[in-house]
Amino acid sequence: MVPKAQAGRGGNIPTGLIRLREVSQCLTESACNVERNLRILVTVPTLRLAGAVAALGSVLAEDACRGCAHQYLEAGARISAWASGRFVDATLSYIDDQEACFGGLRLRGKRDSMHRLPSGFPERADARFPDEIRADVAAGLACTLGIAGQRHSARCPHPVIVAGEPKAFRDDVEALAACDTRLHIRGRLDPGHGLTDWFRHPVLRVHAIPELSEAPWAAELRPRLLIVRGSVGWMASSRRLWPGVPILALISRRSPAGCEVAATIRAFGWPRAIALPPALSDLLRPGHGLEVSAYVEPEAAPHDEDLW
Amino acid sequence: VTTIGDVFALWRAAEQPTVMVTRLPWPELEAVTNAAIGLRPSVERSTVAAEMLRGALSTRQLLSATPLPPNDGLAGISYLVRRINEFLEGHPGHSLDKSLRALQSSLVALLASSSIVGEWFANVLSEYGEDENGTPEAVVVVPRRAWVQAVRAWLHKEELTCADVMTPGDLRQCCTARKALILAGHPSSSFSSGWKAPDVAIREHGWLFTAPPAGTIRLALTADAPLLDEAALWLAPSQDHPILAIEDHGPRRETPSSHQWVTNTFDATFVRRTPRQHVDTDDGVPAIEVVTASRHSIFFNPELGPRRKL
Repeated sequence: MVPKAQAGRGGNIPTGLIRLREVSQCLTESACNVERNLRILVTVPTLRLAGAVAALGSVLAEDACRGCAHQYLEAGARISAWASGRFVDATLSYIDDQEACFGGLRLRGKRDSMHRLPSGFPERADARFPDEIRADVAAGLACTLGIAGQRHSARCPHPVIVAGEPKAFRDDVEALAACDTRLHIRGRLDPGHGLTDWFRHPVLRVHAIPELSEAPWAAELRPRLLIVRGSVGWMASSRRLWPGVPILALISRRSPAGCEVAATIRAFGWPRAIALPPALSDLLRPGHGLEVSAYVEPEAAPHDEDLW
Repeated sequence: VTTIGDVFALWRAAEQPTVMVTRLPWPELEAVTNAAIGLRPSVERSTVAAEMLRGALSTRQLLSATPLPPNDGLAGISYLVRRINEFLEGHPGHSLDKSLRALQSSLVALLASSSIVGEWFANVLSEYGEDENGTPEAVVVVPRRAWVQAVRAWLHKEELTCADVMTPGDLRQCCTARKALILAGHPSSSFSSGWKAPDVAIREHGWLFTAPPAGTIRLALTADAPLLDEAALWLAPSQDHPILAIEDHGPRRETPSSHQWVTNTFDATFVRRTPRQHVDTDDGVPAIEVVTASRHSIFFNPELGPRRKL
């Protein structure tokens, strides 16, 4: 259920931020009904809170798996799972309808906290679930503390990726969380750092979206939404890794570099996105201090370097 | 320390800011502008014409964007008058004699006048005070850092101490919203320079109107300044940006002179020079030939190089 747009301190949440959350939520829910390489450019009066609110909107969206590769569990596959109070990566030694065995552990019941890792996924250590957010996660997911980790893991196969200024994003999450504990922001967003935190956090912060060659394993995965926060994130990010996932670019009007990015995008002459779901089209109207443009970036030639 | 309330206030301020434009007639400043524009066709062939044009427009930039009086040292009017005097005495019967004398007399008249913009600042600032935390409700925006100290001194002298003075660069870092943002001068000229064209300047500083750290923007424009083009303040195409409430109670017609000074004078592409290869002239002195837009050839000493670009 979408929390009401309220804030305990600082008064009611500004309409611009509410609209941003709605755009992000609707964009995530419409992701499979929109054109490839959809770019939503939103200029904001300040980047403060913009990324966190947009990420919140995306996390709140319903996003069902559609035959995703992480669901294909078979013996011998490397998986990421929640077991014995920890996030573990292990090789699945046995699986049938009742139980699954991996890393000396036996898991019965729901399997939505187990995810097959793509081939080439980097090795990583087991991780504990931070106690300080456990209660927030449990409250946000309306479950008991005992199963909070499992429920948390189950909602992480398609994280929101936020590119640009990871520390500032984290500060915004903290600020928003302190604003009103009823929203359970820390638990809902719980940002991880880097794509290698996939399956362990609902939101991943990165400096920039990498090129396919830098993280080829990532092409097998699908984020729910790509949010680019600021001009640096935009300039440094690749836009070819997930062509099927829309990019929501948040550009500050205060920044001279942001002005240049907006001018450059206009100069690209990308065609405007026309075939959008009506609900999304309604939200993509300018107002409340937001400039909103929807473009479809032309598909890049696979070997355009060869032309040179 | 920025609180969540401060950030919310910034967002709210941008939702529907009010832009109140006041038109100020300043005939002496207009006369200087028109006299300086009269020198425009001569800048290609005359260093003094270029220098005076640049100087007069810099004076206009300062006087239309700050409350400083015409006799302030930063305006440089005395220098320009003295420089014209020296030139005319040293070059009797020069072809620019008439134009320079016209500029000189208009500068003298301007020097004797008082700043209309300063009066406006004084009136507007008297409407604002301090909030309960002792923070000034209004911020005076000064386009250049070099002018800040002089503006502060002027405000202190006028006992208008209930206002902060900031450059746009300072305001970018400022995360608290005030009641009013007070600025003067057309953004496309106030913030432009030899390195920043007017269209770029207004786009980069449009956020002072579209994402302001205050709910109200009070802007003073001289009567001959061009209209404040709302579309130029935003970054997105016209169908993608919100409508800004601009209250311009002044004359809304676009005069030829205002159009000329804002578009042509600062436009670097207006003067096109075509450098050619190093040539030896008939008198045996090596020189660099430059062909101007008017297809005149000018030869420069290869060591000293051409004069600075306008």
